[in-house]
Amino acid sequence: MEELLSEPVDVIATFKERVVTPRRFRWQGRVLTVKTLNLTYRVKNGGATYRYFSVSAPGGTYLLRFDPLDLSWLLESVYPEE
Amino acid sequence: MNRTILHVDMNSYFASVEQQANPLLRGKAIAVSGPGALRLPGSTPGNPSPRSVVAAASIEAKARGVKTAMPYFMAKQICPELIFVVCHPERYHDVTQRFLRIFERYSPLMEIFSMDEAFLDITDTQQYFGGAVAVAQRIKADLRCEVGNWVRCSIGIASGKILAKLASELKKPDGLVVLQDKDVAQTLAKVPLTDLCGIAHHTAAHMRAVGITTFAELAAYPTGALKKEFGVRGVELQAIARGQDYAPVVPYNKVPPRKSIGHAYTLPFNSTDPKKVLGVLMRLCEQVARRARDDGMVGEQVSAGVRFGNMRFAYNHERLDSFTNNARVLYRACEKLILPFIGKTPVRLLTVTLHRLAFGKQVQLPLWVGERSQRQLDTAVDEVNDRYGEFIVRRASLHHGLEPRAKDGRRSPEVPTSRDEGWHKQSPGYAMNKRIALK
Repeated sequence: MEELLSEPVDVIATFKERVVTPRRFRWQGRVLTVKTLNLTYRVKNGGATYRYFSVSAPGGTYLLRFDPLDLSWLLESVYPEE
Repeated sequence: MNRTILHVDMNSYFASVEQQANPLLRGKAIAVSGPGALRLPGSTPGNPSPRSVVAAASIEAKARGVKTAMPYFMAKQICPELIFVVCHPERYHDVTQRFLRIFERYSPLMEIFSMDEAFLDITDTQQYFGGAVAVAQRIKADLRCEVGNWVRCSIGIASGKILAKLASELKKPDGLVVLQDKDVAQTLAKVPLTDLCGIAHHTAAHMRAVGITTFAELAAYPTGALKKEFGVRGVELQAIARGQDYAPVVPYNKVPPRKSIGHAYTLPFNSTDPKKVLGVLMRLCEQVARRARDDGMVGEQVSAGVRFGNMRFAYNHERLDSFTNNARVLYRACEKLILPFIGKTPVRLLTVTLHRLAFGKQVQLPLWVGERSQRQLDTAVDEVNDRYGEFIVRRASLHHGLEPRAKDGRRSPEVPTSRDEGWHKQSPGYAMNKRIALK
């Protein structure tokens, strides 16, 4: 079942040709490498537009949120592997 | 010249997007439901309340008999391994915009039929891409490449919209069916009347009553008698049954203005408490007024409806003194309209609709200072909410229970945290087109 977190996380990402791609992130003291980028989408909230990345990494599926205004990353939720 | 129309229908759309986002759900029976389902009484983490319904089912769940709008407890009985997934409207909205952009590469004549369906008139553009089938194949390839390989679509190709839609229904998922004019009669002979868009169970029952059970019988029925029984729509359906499907594809930017703006809300539990019911009414008025202001519209008539616990529906409407898109004015009118219905029979659902719309710029400015300052206040609040997010500034009467999330991660019932959440918009075609029109 999906666990809602909204935790700030450190992310290593590439920025190429206006495309952001998260590569690795640190969560609960572990560095997780992104295996696949499953879906990306944007959500407008007031004047801000967040970029969401649903990624598969060891342990499950993770939903990362990137705020281009302050370059911050949040781990929104985790869907752990059984 | 014969037209070439494509109908693109995304397969099990919401569920497929969820499976695209989360590979752990792929190949499994999943049911997507509103986030409110987890806040209703009787729900536990991961299991929505018995009152919630399946908003969308995955292809695997459909194969097990789970259907859209089925109560969740019933779906779980049919398919015990069904996984409940909370919907993410913003995800679907963004993916919809992306696939519409893909469609638009192949023709400027694109009609948005719903959030997961569109018609494309490629009569004049197919030659540049190698024909209609090549266009369909390219759309499928673009979808796989740009959205994901789990979000699939069925495409129907025919000379008319309704026939193209019928063709897309013939093979699911991931189908591609070309319905040639010469094959229309043969294809229609194989499908029941209700497979055609525009013939629902009620119309089919009416048709059976007059002796029409097949498309051949519909095509042969005397036109005059058909018009008498079913009106103009009956004649249109007969033309389609004869393979004459001439309805034009109406591009999303050419859809006529909408005629009403409405919202409805099902309470988490039936209530006779006027305070609770009027609280929901106030929120509905806010929603309607906000959408009207967003579109630059004002309305001159308001209606309010109540569905009771016994599913009976009561409705009232009133002509306002002047055009408005102010929530407080709407609320005052609606309160008068529904108060007679509250207190005896438990209320299950409320609706508020603004009618007789006009563009705000076309109506006279308010004469009185109070009305003018109210309008300025609305504009200021909208500007703040546009910038910082919905409900950042709100009426004090809406404040109660608006905390986004309780400590256990669940949010209090009856409370939308975005403009769309938990609220059913009565969106005619224009509204849908406008809301998901390409930016």
